[in-house]
Formats: sequence, structure tokens, C-alpha cells
Amino acid sequence: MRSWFLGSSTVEAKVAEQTLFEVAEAVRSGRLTAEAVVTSALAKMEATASLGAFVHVDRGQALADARAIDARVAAGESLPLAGVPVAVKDNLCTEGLETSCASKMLGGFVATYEATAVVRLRAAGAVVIGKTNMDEFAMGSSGETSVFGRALNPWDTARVPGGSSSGSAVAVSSRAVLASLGSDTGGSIRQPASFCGVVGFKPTYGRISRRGLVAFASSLDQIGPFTTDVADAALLFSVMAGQDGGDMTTSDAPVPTVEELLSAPAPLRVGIPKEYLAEGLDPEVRGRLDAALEALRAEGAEVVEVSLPHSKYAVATYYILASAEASSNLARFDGVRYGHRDADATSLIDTYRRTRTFGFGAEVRRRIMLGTFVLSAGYYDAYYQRAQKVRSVFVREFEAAFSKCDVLLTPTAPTAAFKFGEHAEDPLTMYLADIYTIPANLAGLPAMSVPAGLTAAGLPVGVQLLAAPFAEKTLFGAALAVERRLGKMAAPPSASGEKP
Amino acid sequence: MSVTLETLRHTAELARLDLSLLPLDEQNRLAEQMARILAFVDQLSEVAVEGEEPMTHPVPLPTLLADDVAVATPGAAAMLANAPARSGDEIVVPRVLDGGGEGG
Repeated sequence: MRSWFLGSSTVEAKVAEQTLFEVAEAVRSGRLTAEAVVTSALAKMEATASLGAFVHVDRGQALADARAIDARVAAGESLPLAGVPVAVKDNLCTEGLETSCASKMLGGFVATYEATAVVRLRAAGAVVIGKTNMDEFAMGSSGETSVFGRALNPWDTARVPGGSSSGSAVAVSSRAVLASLGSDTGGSIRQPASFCGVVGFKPTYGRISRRGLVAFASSLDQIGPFTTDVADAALLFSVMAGQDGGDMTTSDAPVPTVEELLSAPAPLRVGIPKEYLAEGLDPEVRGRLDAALEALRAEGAEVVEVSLPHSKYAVATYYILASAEASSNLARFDGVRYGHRDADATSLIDTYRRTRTFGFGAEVRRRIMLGTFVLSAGYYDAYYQRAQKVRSVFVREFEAAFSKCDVLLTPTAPTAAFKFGEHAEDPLTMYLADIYTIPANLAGLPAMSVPAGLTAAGLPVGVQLLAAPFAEKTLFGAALAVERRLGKMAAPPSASGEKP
Repeated sequence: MSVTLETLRHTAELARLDLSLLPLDEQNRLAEQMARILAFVDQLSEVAVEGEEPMTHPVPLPTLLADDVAVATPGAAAMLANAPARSGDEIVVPRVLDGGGEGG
């Protein structure tokens, strides 16, 4: 147990690669071993442990996996992610490593198969070094609903990292790893990416297989990467995307290669939805949005105003549909076949009730209740079906917007990272933190949060780019242009020398 | 809309939750929060949805045909390893009959 740690300081000095391309190239060329890279990542993880990013780690397995990659490289395999350590959100099934969704309900659960996204990363040479903290069952926008306790924002530990993929954002922001996976149902990749100063990408619905992702809301969920720059996001996307027999909603649309994504031109027309600039938007967030807009203009884009008149209904639509789907998906957790079972139950029906009442936290219970209510007799048409119809309206509005522009530019979140406990008493104000990210899930669009600078107080702010379904190439062209002009976001002060 | 305790209990029963196991203040808070969330989502009644199709998935997806080949699946032993209680290759649960299955 000791050896990896004692040896780490010398190895760490050698692993100074800043991007996934550089790490993989160093391993492919034999300049670094995967084992050295993973050893270094484990040491960084240890050094940043107080941030609470990781919840399940098997160091021995990670090092064994790294040595297996070294053997594949030695055998002549050319691996696009050779030796790259990745952190994986705790709702993605990993063989041999616990998958608990940060819930008491799945405490100790070890999946019998691995998520397709993780399988593909491993096939490309990546090494899973741990599972990351998250809001329980991905329900939350601050990371505070985790049964493991909160993860801290590396830029200011009094503030939330965002959620629900809290630990995956922190793991990359603190540079414990250069890549992690999250899931995004209403903004759970993009909002924490914005709060933590990293790139967060939700692909088009159907691009990346959801097989092995513990389902929250099946028509909204999508897996995606956190990285320190846009090019690394392209690399991970190109490896993970594509049809999969294990998820019948994956698309057969051709997946762009990483070369195609990285050579995509800056967009010609950038749309700004006028409804998104209404009151309530923090002036500093507005300032960073304007900076990104100027960046795109400088790259030759024409700016056009577009309208998404029903935007104000997005949060309400989302909370009906997501909760309804969650109440159905989470019905499987009943204490019979796996996970938590309440020990005091005396009958089967009592097992269900007690296990579910005590196994789920308050936020998850609230959403199951809301979802069950909107699906119940007498309310189904008024709530659930009406929300499904409003969803059709959203999709049409986005289609109209994308007939006038190539990409949309919006804030990722209304504010920079807020303080712990700020929204704890009022779930509704927390839900409104997702107002700019939810529409992409409702309409299935690819969307990315790209760092756009810091507030006066030194907190990162991201901007969001959206494109039409399956137009990832256009999206990356825009994201690369913003990054080229505004510069890559540096690591937080806590990750670049000082003790966190 | 207001959420009566009766509505709350009925919904909990459908969801296989037993709210009476929770402290009273937590039950009251849940009722109050649900009422506020429902009041918030009630704004959808302003949207004209006549003639709109209910949408279940955001992008059109082709019917995916699986290849007609056998695929190895995790064996029973791997799946049973996660069972909270078992006897040999069977999962043990509390009694279902003699009142144990009431409502179930």
C-alpha cells in the first residue's frame, strides 16, 4: 500500500503533461509508463482528498489496470487514451468497483457489468482511478444531497462545486485527473463545469450509450466528459460516442472523428436568445457572456438575435417530466435483489416501504412523490401529458432558432458558484439554478460549458454553447473559437502549488 | 394547489413510501414543498398546447435491431452476490402470504 505513495513525489515531477493528448502520446512513445501516470494521479488524488471528490477508489486495481495498458502499448497497440487516468461518476456501473449513486439505497452495490462508455474508454487505453461524489441519484445542483457529504469547490471551499456531477467537476478542476465522466439530465455536467472552471460537454441525446448509467430520467439523461480544455472533450467524445446494442436509443448517425471536431471552423452566425438576458442574470455573468460574444465576433461570426418565447416554462416542464421518469425508474429499488434492505420489516410490502422511505434521502423522496403525483389518476393529463406537449413546443422553437444561426450562446448558470446552504431550505430556488441548461435536455441538443473567465472575487464563470441535434462539429468549432480568444482557464490557486 | 395530507398519503402509497415513518415536521415540510412546487409548475396551464403531440423522446431515433448472436451475460452467482439475504441460489424475503402481501 505504501509503495505507490512513497514513490509518488519523484514520479509526479515527471508527469507534467497538461492535456490528454500529451499524456497519451507520452505513454505511446514510451517516455512515460501508464503505471507512472496513474501513480501520479493517485498521489494528486490523495493530496486533494479534503475536497471530497472521490467516494470509491481501488488503488491496487487501478495500478494493475495501468500495467495492463503498458503491456498493450508494449505489444504495439496504438491507443488514443493510452494510460490516461479517468474519474467516473458514481452512477456509472464499473465492474469490481462499487456503484452507489451516493445513496444509502445502493450502499455496497457492485455492478455485474460495466457501462458502455467506460468499456470504450478502457478499450482506448484509459484507466479508471475512482468513482466520484455526486448528488444522490443525480438529483441536485450543488452536490449537497450526497450520502457521503459534500464535495468542495477548489476555487473557494466555502462554495458548492455545483451538481449533480460534483465530484467529477472537482476532480478535474483540482487536476487530480485531466478527465472525468458525468451525466447530465438538466445541466448536471455543464453547471458544475461552469462553477469549477472546466469544460463540461453534454452530447446530443442518443450519441453516447446510456447502458450502465443508473437511470434518472431516461429521455433526458446523457453521459459526457469534464476536461481542462475543449480538444480533450473532443477526444473523449470521439471514443465514447456511437451506436450500441445495449441502449436502443443510441443513434446510428456517423460520429465525427477527433480530427474533424478539432478542425471545425468558427461559426458564421451566433444566436443570442433574447429571453435569456432578462432580469435576474448576474452582471458579472453577463460580462463574461459579452466577452465570449466578442470572441466569436472577432473570429468572424455575425451575431443574430433569436427568440425562444417559451423559455420561462422550461424549469416547470423539466421538473414534471424528470420527476415522472424518476419515479418510474427508481421503482426498482425495493430492497429485494440488491442494495439496502431495511432490517426491521416484517412483511414483503413493509420491506418495500421501509427500505424506500429510509434508503432514499429527502430530495430523492420529494422527486419520487412529485413524479408519482403527476402520473397518478386525475393528474396525468393536467401535468404529465401537458408537459410532454410543451416539450414539443420547445423542440419546434429551437428548430426555428437554428434556421437563423449555427450555434446559440447563453450563460451556463445565472450566477457563479453559490455558498453551501444558500438554497438548502427552498428546493425551488435551487431548481432555478438550472434555468439555462435544462432546455438542451428537453430538446436533446448538444451543449457545452466553456470557461469564460473569473468574477471580481475570483470565481470561474462558464458560457454555454448549443447546436442543433447531431451538429457536434459545429458546436466544437464555436467552443474552440471561444477558447482560442479567451484563453484556457488556469488551474485554481489551490491546485497549482498551495495546499488545498 | 394545496396538498392535503390525504393526497400526500395516497401518493406515498402509490410510490411505496411510508411517510408516517418520518418525523412529523419532515412530513409537514414535504407537504408544504410539494404544494409550492405544484403551484410553480401550474404555470404550464398558460401554454397553448392544443394540437401538440406529447413528446416522449427529443430526437427521432431509428429502430435498432440487435445482431442475432448469443452474448455472454453475468452468471447467477454474480447477480446473487448483491442480494441482501439469500439461501443458496435463492433470494430470501420476508413472508408474502398471511397478511404479508397486503396491498402488494
